[in-house]
Amino acid sequence: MKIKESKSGAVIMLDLNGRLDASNSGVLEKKLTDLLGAGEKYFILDFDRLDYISSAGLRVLLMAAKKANGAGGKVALSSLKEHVREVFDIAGFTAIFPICSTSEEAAGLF
Amino acid sequence: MQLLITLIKNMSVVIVLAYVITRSRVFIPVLEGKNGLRNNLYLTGIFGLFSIYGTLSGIEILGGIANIRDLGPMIAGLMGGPLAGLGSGLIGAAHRYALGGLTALPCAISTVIAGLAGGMIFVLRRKQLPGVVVAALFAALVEILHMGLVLVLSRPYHAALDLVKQISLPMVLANSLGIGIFIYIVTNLLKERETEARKKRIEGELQVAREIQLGIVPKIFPPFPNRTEFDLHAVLEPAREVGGDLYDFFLLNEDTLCFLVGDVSGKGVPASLFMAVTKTLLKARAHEEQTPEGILGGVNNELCAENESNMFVTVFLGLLHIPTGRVTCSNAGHNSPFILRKDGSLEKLPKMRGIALGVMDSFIFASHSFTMQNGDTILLYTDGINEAMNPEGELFGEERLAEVIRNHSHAGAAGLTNGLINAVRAFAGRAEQSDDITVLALRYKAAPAGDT
Repeated sequence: MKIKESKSGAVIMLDLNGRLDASNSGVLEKKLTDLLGAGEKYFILDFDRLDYISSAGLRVLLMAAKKANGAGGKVALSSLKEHVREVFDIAGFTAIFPICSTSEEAAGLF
Repeated sequence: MQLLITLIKNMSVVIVLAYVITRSRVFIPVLEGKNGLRNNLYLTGIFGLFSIYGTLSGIEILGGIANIRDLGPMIAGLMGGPLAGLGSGLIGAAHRYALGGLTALPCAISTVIAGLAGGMIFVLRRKQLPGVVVAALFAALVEILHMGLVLVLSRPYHAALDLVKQISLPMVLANSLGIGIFIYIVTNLLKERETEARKKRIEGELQVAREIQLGIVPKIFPPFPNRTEFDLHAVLEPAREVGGDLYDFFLLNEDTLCFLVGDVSGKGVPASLFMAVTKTLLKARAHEEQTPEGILGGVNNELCAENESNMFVTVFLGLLHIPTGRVTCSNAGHNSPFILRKDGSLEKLPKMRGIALGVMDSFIFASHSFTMQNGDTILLYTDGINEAMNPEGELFGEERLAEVIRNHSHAGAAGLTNGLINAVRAFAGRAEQSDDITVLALRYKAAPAGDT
């Protein structure tokens, strides 16, 4: 999985590319923890190029959402592929993350 | 310079041999610090011979011998203590003394001292090897003492002085380099053994953890031999030694069977601990609450409290009313189970409002009811099944899953679960199992008294 980071105003955009599973969720966890630790609290995770997410990946997103929400911020997701969205649906995680069809739409949430 | 090169060559021979010996099985007790009589004799013999080799390979010069004779006894002393040092020193010394010459006596004495001094370090450091630099300095000191003894004891003095001028630097360098390299090798060897031992211990602990984990899910089938109204079978295969999948089933009363399958986020040891907690909470809560949504809601709140790890667990839980075949169920973010009807048709249970346990406090779960007819089967599974991957990276998928279930419409519960596990294995082929796999099949066998 590749992570590309960019920033627009106060919002951090992370573009995830590939598969997010137990073997690499630690990389994303460290990235998000570092950003949260540095005081960032608004995130858009762009899943346009994310092919797969496992429960280990969900755990990292959950951690980020809890911490960001706790700091008065937000984690939004955009451009989920059908089968990735299904994973969120099944686990009930659509109730936790604002999910947008495009990153522009997500940017409008902040 | 030539002298130094020759000595280093000789030293290399001794060190290579010493290396081979340290890797041999007989050397293990020495590494473990057991300096019994046998080890002392062993070290004495081997390093005594090394000492003699040190003399024989030396270069005769000005009536003396430039050599690495002290290397063997020093090593024996450092590794085995004063007795081994003294023993091998005496062997080397006796041999050197017998050769005679200008420096016979001081050389013999210093060889014994080298062994004894190595042994003193062994005692002072309580069997701990010194570091590379300390050991090299020690060897240098021994050699300087050696040279001093030659100056003091050998006559005529000017001949001794000429000799010492020629050989002192090469001997100090060759011996301290030799000891330094040897200590470096042995230290690495000890580290390697320690790493190996630690790895074995962790593997052993994981093996026990696996047995404990597999022991906390019921594994005796049929589970209730005198209950003929249903046929139940379940299989759990962790991807690693331990995993985060779980299943359970138990009778809440004479008429009600509780059955469930769950999947903790992630895998390995953290997931397995969370799995054990979840299973315990579910069973305890099931005896307090009357409804599936009540059980899941209660456990959810308990898991949410102080959930620092942000782990979560998806659970599907059903209650079967045995006399009627009526099932009420709730789903905490788990895959929807399949229902295989007796006529071979296959349905998937509808989605229910739910979220994985441990995520959102005070969540109100929905429930769903349906009736199982005689011969109907409900199949619960975790995503280790549908997300199993073959070497080409394809997923097993729900279509294959549905097909395998249909192909086993006449098999019993065990036939279905085993058939499914085998199909997934055959599909995955040589690909490594990436996730825990769990399947639970419950076939209802009694004709319900009147359809509800």
